[in-house]
Amino acid sequence: MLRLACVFALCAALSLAEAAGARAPAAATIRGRVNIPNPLSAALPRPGIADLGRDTNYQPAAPRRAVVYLETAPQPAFEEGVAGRATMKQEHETFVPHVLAIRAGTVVDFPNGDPFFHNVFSLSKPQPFDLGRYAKGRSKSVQFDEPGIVRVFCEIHSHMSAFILVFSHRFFAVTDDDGRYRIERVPAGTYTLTAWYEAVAQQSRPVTVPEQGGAVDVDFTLRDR
Amino acid sequence: MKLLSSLTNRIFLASAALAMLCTGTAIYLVNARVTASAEEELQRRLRQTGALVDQQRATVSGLFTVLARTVADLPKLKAAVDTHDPPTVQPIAAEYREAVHADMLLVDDQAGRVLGSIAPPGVVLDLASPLPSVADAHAGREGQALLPLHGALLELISVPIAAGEPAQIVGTLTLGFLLDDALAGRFKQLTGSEIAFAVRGRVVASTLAAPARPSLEAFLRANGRQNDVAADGEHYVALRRPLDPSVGPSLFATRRDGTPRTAGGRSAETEVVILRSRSESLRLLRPIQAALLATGLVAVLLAIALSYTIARTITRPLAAITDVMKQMAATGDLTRKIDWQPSRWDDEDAQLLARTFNTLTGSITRFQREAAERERLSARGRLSTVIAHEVRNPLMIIKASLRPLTRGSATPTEVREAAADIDEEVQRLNRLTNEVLDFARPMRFDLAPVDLAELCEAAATAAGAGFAAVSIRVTLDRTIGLVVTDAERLRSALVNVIVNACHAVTERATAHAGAAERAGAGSRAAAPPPDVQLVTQRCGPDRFEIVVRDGGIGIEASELPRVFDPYFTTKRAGTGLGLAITRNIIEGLGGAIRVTSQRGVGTEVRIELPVDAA
Repeated sequence: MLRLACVFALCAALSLAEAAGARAPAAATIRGRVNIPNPLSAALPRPGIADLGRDTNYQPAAPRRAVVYLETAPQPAFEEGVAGRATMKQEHETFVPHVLAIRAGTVVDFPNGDPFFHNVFSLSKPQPFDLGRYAKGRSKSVQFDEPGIVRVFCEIHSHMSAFILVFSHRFFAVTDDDGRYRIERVPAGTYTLTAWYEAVAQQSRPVTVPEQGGAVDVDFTLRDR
Repeated sequence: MKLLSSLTNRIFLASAALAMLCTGTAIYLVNARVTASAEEELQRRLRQTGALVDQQRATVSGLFTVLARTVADLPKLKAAVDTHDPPTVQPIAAEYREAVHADMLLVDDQAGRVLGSIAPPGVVLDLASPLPSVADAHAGREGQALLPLHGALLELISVPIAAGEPAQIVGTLTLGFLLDDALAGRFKQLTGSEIAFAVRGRVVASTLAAPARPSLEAFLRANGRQNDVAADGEHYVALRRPLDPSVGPSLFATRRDGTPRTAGGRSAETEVVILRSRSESLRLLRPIQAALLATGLVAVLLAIALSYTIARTITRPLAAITDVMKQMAATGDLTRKIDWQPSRWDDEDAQLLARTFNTLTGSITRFQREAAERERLSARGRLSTVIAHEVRNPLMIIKASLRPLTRGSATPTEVREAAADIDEEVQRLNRLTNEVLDFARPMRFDLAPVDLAELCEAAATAAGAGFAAVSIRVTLDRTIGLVVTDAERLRSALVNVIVNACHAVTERATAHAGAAERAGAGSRAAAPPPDVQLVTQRCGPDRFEIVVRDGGIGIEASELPRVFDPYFTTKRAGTGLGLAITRNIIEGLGGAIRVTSQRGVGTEVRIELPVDAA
């Protein structure tokens, strides 16, 4: 479904690209807070294979992050091409960050910070890759050109996974520790704002950015599907 | 009953009956025990097999559960399921199915869409409706289900596929293994029992051949009212166990925190039936039973033979003894011995009996011989003495008388004297011969009525003729009258008795005279009465008595018992046959004669006779 949404976004963007004229950009900010399900709780031992299928109350210590983005983006966003670099470390048997949102064309480095091997791979359609095994201190990179959601796994450690959300525009934000987000310099217009959490919960709201700019506050409360 | 009357038969029958009773009881008990033990064994094996099947199923289920969990945790599968792309997932699913040797593998995503599935050959899974275990897995639990197929049961184990932290269910993995004829066959190899899997009373897979299945299904329908199945010519003992996965044994029956695990699968009324052939176990018993029977027969035959042989050791000697006794009875010969050699095995007591019998007859023989010998000796001795005496004297006298005649110079007076002597001696010899012959010959009596008084007087007169000094007083009971008897013989018997009395009286008188002479003229001892009394009297309605009493010299007490013995005499002359002949006569006439005497006082002879001797 997300794939579909991205395709739709792409089409929409393309169609908008043919629209005449560029609007005068207003320095509008969309900000808000995303309340995510499963509030933090005390760390319990990570469940192993034997616990699969059983009810556990395990919550990882790291805070959960959501990604908020515009599904339909104004045309200039596509023109601002910024090819950057991002990093997704493997640290303490976890991918850090757990959720990475990047623009298409970004190269992501995957350095191994653990004193043992990791084998980062993904089968996701936008960018399947398999970096092979490498030890501490080494790193490999992947360039993500296709927009979409890439799920990253470690071949050796079955509990490790991470999301890389590849956007073709820049109008996205990852929530901070408190769940707050800011999307800067959004041109005026009406868009669909989506809050996405861990492929578990997703909510879309229409949002209108006024001509005069300013800030638009949109809060999301996500529930478990 | 005649059969029991003989000792041989009794011993034989008792031993044979005892042997048969003991052997029969022993064999019966052993047989009962062996059969009971075989039945016990059968039941035990049945229960064992049931436990084994349960355990095997639990093991396999547990194993596949663990395998499912492991496979569901593989990052590659998680990544593949996360793509929601069947072409990506299917090859991975096939690879894993082969790796774990499952008969079936199914992968779906959290929406229930099947991403990969490999079914057992020939089986088409109906995936339109979700499998019951899969629903459990989507709910986060591990699910188990039993799916009836044609010809097999498919046991399913479903586990959720989780990814991310916290773990979220991205899909489910289901492994399946078949309970089919092949599996049943492996069970049968392990346990030797027939196995059948049944759903709702219908046999789905089994080791029994197809013809046997209808009777098995009938048994299942009977629903516990019978425990035996007769199928295909054999009798089976059957045990039913449910295959309900929701309450089946599991390696992980409780969770880590101790709460029991419950799977959501509903029972499909599936069960496993375990059969063991009772006919076969009974068949195995047959050699034992045959051996027991053979032993029993041999024992009985031996017992019969042995008891017969033992009985014979008694009856052979007994038969020999009784044979000899029968011959003794038939021939009257008391001297026969048992002519029989005892063998070592013959009964000791019977041998003793035979030996004692022989001793007895030996003694009888000896006694007979001795008695005869004694009899001969005494009679012969006496006879020879008498003959020697009584015959030689006359012969001497005859010879002496003949001497002057042979010389030829005898005067006629001498010749006449010699002739008279010879005649007298010849008469004496004649008398002697007659007496001996009389005694030796059996007497024949000439019975006729006779006047007793007349007979007694005649006898007294004849007897007293030679004794002048003796007076015979006769006292007669005239009422007796006529008696039937042999007059001549009775008269001679009486004469003999009276003559004896007269001799006794004369001898006493002579002795007295001699004693008086020796004593001298001064003795005044009285002379003994010089008479003999003869009295007749009645004694009873048809008996009478003749008593001859004398005051003679008497008989010595030591010689009194022998006065009637033939050739017994105290006189220097005489054959000693007189009283013997007298007794023969009296007893021959149906009477009795008794003598009482006291030496120096007198003698009494009582003759008792019947009035009618006929």
